[in-house]
Amino acid sequence: MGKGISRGIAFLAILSMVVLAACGGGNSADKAGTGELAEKQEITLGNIPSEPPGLDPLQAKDSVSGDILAQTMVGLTKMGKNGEAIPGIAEKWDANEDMTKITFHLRDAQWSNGDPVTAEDFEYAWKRMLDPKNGAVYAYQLFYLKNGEKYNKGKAKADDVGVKAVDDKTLEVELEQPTPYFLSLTTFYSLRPVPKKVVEKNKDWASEADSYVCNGPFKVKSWKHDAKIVLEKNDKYYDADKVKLTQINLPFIAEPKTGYQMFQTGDVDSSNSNIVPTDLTKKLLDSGEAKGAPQIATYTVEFNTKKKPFNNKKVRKAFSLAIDRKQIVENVLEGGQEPANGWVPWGMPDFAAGKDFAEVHGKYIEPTAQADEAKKLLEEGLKEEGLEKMPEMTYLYNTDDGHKKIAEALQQMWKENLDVNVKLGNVEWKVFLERKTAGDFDFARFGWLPDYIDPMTFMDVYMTDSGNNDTKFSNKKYDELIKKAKSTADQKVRMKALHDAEDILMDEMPVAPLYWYTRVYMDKDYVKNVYRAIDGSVYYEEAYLTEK
Amino acid sequence: MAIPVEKFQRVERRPKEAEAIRRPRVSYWKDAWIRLKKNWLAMGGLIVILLLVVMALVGPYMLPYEYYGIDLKSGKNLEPSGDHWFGTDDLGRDMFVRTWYGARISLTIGIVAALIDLVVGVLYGGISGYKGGRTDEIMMRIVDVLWGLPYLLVVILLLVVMGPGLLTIIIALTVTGWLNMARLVRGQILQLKEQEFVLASKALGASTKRLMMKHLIPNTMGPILVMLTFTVPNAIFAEAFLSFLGLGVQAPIASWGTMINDALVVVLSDEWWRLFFPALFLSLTLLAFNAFGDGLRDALDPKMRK
Amino acid sequence: MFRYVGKRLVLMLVSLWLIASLTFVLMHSIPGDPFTSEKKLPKQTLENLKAKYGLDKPLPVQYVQYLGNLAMFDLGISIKSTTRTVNDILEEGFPVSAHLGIQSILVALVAGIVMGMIAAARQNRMSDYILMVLAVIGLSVPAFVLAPLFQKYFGMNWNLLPVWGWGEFEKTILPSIVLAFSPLALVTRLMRSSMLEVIGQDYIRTARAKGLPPIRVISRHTLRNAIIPVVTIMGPLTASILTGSFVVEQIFAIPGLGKYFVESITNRDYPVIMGVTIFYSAFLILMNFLVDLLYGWIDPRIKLSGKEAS
Repeated sequence: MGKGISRGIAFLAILSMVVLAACGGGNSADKAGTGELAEKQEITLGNIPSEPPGLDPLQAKDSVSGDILAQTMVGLTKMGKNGEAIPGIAEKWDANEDMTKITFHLRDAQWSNGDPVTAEDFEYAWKRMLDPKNGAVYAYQLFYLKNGEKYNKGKAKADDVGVKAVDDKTLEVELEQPTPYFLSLTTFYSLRPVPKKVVEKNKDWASEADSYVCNGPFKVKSWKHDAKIVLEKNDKYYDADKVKLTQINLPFIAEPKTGYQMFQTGDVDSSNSNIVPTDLTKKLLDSGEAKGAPQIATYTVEFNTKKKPFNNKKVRKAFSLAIDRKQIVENVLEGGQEPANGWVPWGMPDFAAGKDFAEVHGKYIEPTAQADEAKKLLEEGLKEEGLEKMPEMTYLYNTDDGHKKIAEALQQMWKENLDVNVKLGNVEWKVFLERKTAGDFDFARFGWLPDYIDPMTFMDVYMTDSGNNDTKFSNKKYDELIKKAKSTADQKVRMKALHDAEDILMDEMPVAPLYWYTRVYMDKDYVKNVYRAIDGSVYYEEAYLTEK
Repeated sequence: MAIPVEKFQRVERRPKEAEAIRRPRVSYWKDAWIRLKKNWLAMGGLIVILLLVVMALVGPYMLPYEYYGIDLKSGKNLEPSGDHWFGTDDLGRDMFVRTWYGARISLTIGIVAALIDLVVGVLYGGISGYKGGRTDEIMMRIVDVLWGLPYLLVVILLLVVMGPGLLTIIIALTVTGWLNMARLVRGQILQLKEQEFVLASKALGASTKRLMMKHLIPNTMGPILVMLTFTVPNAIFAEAFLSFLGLGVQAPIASWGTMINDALVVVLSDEWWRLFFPALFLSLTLLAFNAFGDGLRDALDPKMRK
Repeated sequence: MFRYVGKRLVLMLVSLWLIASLTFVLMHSIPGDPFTSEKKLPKQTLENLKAKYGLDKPLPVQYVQYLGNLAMFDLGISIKSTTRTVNDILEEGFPVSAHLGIQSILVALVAGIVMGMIAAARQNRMSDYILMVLAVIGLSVPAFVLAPLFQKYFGMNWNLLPVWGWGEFEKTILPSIVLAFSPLALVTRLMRSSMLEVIGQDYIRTARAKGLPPIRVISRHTLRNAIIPVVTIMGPLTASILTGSFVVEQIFAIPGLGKYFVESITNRDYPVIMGVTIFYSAFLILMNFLVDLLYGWIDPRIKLSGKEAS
């Protein structure tokens, strides 16, 4: 790490302070500078909390590696504004009617070392992901491929897997069953290609800057472990003309308070909520320093439907009705979240109606508490279970200040609106997960983020045999509807089935949705054109800086 | 001027009285207490500690709020006022009530930790240092092993096995809380036991117990008391860390440690009272303990006996 | 003496082996494994993963294998950062943490001893009381409060010093001070108390009476006899500060070793847990050994290898 960088940072810091002083704190976008392109197109981001597990799509398994891979690797497709797939390395594609066979036609693109990006690279990368020897975490994202799951289980050969490079520029994909959202999956970092020639020679290619080869707008310039990664513009990128930033600095910032101060002093230009201390969110949103946008994710309370009296749907509903979601969102979280009125969150498209899935289904849940109805339901429910009064239940959450605050508020609401005493229990993260999986809980917090852009990623969670269904909720009708939606590519049929399934889910209420997430981010005024896709990924491909 | 002879009175020989000790016999500990009472700083410390204990007992009832009483609508982050003497926190709970409720937890933890240090640490270190040789070698290697184990692992295991609660915390503190004290005492005893007065005492046939209690431990009292004043805040913050992991008292009960931890954000915002009051009383507690400790040290110092 | 050192080295290896074994048992007896995550992995994927990292074998086999590798100084590969070996992590992180640690230990030791002696010399006078209040503040303001306060005032408000990162000396100033705070307070208080102990002794009075200059009395007689408690606590303190502080390194964004002591456990990253534990323990045991040797050097009356008292 040269002195130049830190001097640059110091320079930026001084400059931005002058600007801040000049603006008098008013941060409106029109005031910022002349709007002319800045001479120096170097940006520092604050969204990387720690060393990424790996920059090989095979090892990438969290949002940290995802955030970096968004700048360095491009898959077959990119994500459009509404979650649709738009051309990436694949220029165009054609599919058969029920979306079981897709042929991708690749454009002329190069790896950062000058080699061409070929269909072979994709085939190799995907089979590598499925190879049981490699133990890839995200292998299941490719179970949609014909024989994909079987190969991962060691029950089929690599050659049987439904992906084939017909020639350098043509990739044929065969799927197990109709999967309309497979295209949106190809934007995901696990399905991005790897440079076959490089990987075969050096299996640790993606752990140091020197050996890393990529095909995206930026390549890795330097990598100081546990401290910082620096990206620079990749001239070999097929759309390099559009890329204006010459360098992206990614210091690892573990503590939001530190990141926030770095932003204030100008050491950081742009970031997601990694630099927003939770308790300051409201203040920063109010002042306009931070901005919020809907994020496709739901925060819920899950009931253990095997635990009496939570086996009774009236009791579960009573607990849900007693929650004042508006209070939680407005006075506890204060981050612009939305009170949930259903399980599938805002922002998730309904592909038949052409608008949000949540807008189509209407309101399942009122934002304020319905104390009278809740009390009545609880009484009835308890009677049905032959209980005099509610036994003391423990609400489980994992160690975190945010979860704690919500739990404390919930406890109070249940006390006030249901006259029920609930104990709070917090445990370490992995202990929490193990206890939930084992069914060793009464009710607990739960948050779900999508794997791909389709309501299915939310709805199949509560199928009877779903590994993620800790509520042990089981409903034949529900399972049938989900299976029906999985068997066709006809969006009208699929969406109808999914809506019907959500009706059942919200009537049975094994899960009481609390709120839908927001994505909070901070950009300096002079940072323009950052693309924040609806799946949460952030692209700096076309971003640029204006004169301050 | 001459004094007439008849004014003089002859005093009989009273051998018994001649042998008697006029000054009342005072034991080492009683003597220490007398000297302690004269030390205004130490007594001030003691009075502050007692006041804190009293406030911990009655404080939560002085205002009409509960420590868990959330008020989201209009009671959040209020400045100290006539209604809320110490203001309110980010869920609208009264800070005065919470501070004194928290004092119960934190003072208990502090005192228990000090006791563990005194009983386990001083005894362990004392025996190890006094015995020396192989016993010392083995006892100190056990200390090394306990010190080397990853504490977080031990804590998670305890939580899984025992569940949360004050008792679990105390056990968690007992595992490693006394190690520093043990090594400190041992180091002192190793040095002291080679000194002449110990040899003299041994020559006079003093028992091991007498040697320890009368000579060795009192001469180590200074470092022991310093270590205690170090153990107390450490334990109070360890409790916050353990509660954060789910081991300790469960929310919404708070201790000073967890309140300070929760209020960290005020470094960047304006609700100073959320950090100030728990931190103030924590510091006051320590100051009182230190003042008392210093006075106690002076009082216990055998060389200062008059 | 050589026999004592030799015996001691053997015992140290035994302690280290005990720590390694207990840690191995502990980490496998708490719930969760490296692959436990909110999105549950398909059973097959889990089995593939476990096979890849050798976690499918019975625990005794894993244990023997680990000890075998350990004997060759091979600490394995991190399961979270799949391309980094534990040896790499230690090699890259330790120098950073140690650098920071040495600076703070020096500050704590030098300033602490001086302040402690001043407090003792001025016992129950104003400077003594002021130093006590300062020490109490040092003890009652933990690093997680002090660090953000320093950042705010020295960084954001006054713009005097850099508040994050690693590389230049200026960047080490604030974290070193934060790290030194609590040890400094402890050393000051300990030094004061043992100085008071020593000052009352007859030989000091003798030294004074025979007209030795005060500096000489302090350096030749007082300090030597008063420093034992400080030396004792320096052993474990050095080991823990030099291997990095989680809080300080997180807040100041320093690429040290500290975070691995916490994150390896929350991630259940078995090889890293074992690696950092063994590294730290070896360091600790060595430091305690050095402390014992120092005792003999400071006060030749102290005998460790001698016979047991009855």
